[in-house]
Amino acid sequence: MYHLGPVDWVESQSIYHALALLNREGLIICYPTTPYVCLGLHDDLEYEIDQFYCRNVGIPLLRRETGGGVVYLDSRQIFFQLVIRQNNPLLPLRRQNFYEKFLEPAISLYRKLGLAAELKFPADIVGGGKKYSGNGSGDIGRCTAYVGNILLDFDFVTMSRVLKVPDEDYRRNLYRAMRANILTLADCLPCPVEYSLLAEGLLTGFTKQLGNLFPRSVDDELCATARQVGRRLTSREWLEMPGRKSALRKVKITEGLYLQAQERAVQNCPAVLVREGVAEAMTADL
Amino acid sequence: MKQIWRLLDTGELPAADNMALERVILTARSCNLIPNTLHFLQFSPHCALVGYHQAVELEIEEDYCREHGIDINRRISGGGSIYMDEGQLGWEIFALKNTPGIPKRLDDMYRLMCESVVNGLSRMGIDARYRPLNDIEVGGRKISGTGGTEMGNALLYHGTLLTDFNVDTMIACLKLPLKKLEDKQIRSFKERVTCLKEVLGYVPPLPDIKKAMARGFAEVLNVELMPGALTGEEETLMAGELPKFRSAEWIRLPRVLQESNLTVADYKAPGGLIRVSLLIDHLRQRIKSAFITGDFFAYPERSILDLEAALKNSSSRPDDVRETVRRFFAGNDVQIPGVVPDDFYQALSLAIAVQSSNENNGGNNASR
Amino acid sequence: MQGEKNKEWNIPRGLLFDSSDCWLKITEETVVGLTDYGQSNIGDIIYLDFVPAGTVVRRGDRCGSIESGKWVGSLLAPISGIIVETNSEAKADPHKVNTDPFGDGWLYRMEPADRKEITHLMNLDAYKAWIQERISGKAKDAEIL
Repeated sequence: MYHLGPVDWVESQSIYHALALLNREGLIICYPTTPYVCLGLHDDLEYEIDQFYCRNVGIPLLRRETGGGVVYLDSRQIFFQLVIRQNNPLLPLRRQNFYEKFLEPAISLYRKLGLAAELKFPADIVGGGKKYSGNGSGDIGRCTAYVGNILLDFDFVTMSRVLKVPDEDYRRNLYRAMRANILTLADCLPCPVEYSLLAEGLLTGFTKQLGNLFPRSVDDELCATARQVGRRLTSREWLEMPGRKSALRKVKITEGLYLQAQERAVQNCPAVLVREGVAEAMTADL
Repeated sequence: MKQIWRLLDTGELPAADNMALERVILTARSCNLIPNTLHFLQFSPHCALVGYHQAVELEIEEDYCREHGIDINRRISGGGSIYMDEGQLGWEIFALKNTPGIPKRLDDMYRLMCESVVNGLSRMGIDARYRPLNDIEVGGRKISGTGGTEMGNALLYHGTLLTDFNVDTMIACLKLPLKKLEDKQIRSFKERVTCLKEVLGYVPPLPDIKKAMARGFAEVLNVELMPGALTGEEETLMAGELPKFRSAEWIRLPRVLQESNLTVADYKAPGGLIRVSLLIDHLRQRIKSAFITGDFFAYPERSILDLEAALKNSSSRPDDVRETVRRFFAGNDVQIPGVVPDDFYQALSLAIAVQSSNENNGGNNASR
Repeated sequence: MQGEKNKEWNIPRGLLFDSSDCWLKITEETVVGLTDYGQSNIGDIIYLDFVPAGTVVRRGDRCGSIESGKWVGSLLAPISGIIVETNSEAKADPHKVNTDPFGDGWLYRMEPADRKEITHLMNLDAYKAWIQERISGKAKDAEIL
């Protein structure tokens, strides 16, 4: 168990990648000290990101090897990352069935804080119809990495600014849709919660799920591998790897909820919110 | 120890490329990807450029430009429309705002940059002066115009240097405050600008001009200039930006409502006729530019050019015009037999009062 | 507005300020303008332009441009949110910003995204001190440019 606390933004991704490549199992609890944008393995940089804006405001980019979409990550989140060997009997054949076990500590933590929380298949933690956190996984080397987070607070404006959008109406609707459908602890609790309390809660939960967790520090081999991996995850070549694109801009907000751009011909309706397959028109009104 | 700045010379490029480059280099500077930079640039093909907030259709004779292969584009900096042909030199400073030695106040920063150009010109044997707010002149005649903008913690300050300049083309492709069919006006207008060829009698080779200018900047700014090229990051940014600067959306669509009407007024002062030609934006109550001629005698002769510079972009409200004129004459030792400051105020007021109906660039005339 | 004089700078009460000389009146929405000191530093404003109403801006994003003396300066958002309305009259006649910066010369209204960002802003006393710092030349950051 690597209880790292605040780490460099690259390390907040590279350490669990390195752990997996070294075929070591482990749980990492950390948060990045500075913000960055993190692409999922199958995201397309050109399609997803306003690189000029990110460059202008100094937000760096990284592509991870796990799935899921583009996320804006900063110090107001706590990450929990579990690396587990693919031949570990704990791991079911269907990877997504492991989310229940992996996310149980976080769900218990939300409930301990007085919030209704449950798993929405496959990997969202939701409460009252809104999303608390989105999570993902991916095979790296001979391991599988499960990555999750808890949002203490979230910068919805920056999230909507870093994404490439067809026009400002779409961006505004995206911002509003995220705001309306994603909840942070700051939204739900009267006072801010300390990182240490959350980390402790997660560790207790994971101990229950996985058995005793032995604290470890980042040794030289792990550090060196993480540095090497970090360079690759932020390299131009890796970032520019082609990925998924749609003809019309589509951004996932929560599981089953998308904001889909419309053809310009549709008056005063620049985008459509698609919820479980049903479209809700969003107007251009402020 | 002197700061080391990059000396960048991108040679001749089309207008869109140069305009995109300005944005790219400024972005790169603000992101600390490059050092402070002195940039030399030239335009090919020749082009007409409007200031950031200007409307092409109000400033540029578009038909003429189309017929003569003159590119049209928009700057990211302020100021008015300019014509740049292949021989003219552009110079640009990209620097962090907090660079030691660069003043915080805009007026002081303009002065410093313009004095750098003055220093460069002096190395070619030219006695140039800085004329506030933004001009460099030789004997009252403009040889370099300047302007600037910012991004984040970085600034761009740039200007032109007229080497061997075709004033006729400039008059033909820009909408200026003069009636183009009047030879006398055109002759008078040509006296407002000058170039290296006119001042020196010849045009020094461009490398020599650049060398002199570079030394001028280096000395006044107290920096060392190291030649360098565009970085990989700048090239990458350029690939993304160039299409935008070629687009009609960039070139043709300012969102600021404005107009531009030519009015001409003749006013008889005891000392002679004062003819005032103004380009006025009545919507915004601005004198965009002024051109003052007549049969009075002004000592020194350049004072009328200086008055025109003071009126450029000034408010056209009566009280403001009176104040602009009063302040000019109070601050300058000008002798015009038979003409007092109030005569200029009256002439200007007459021109401003005329209702504009600028359909054929004819504008309106008034006389008193 | 009723106000307190600081030398010749009119700085009314009830507002918050940022280091770029913006004032903010924060109620349900937020109105943003330029202070008297700010407009005086910029000089005679010839052009004023804004991003379109409806634009989402992050604190520090460019939300408009202001031209004076051939210089195009940036108007930077003092807080994050959505620009709800821009002052079209000031845009048509930017002189209003010079002559009535706290009244008719207001710039735009915003829907704030995060009320916590108010902690980045200055109260009246802090803003007065900031002006003095710059006037006396002690400020580290570029104040005019």
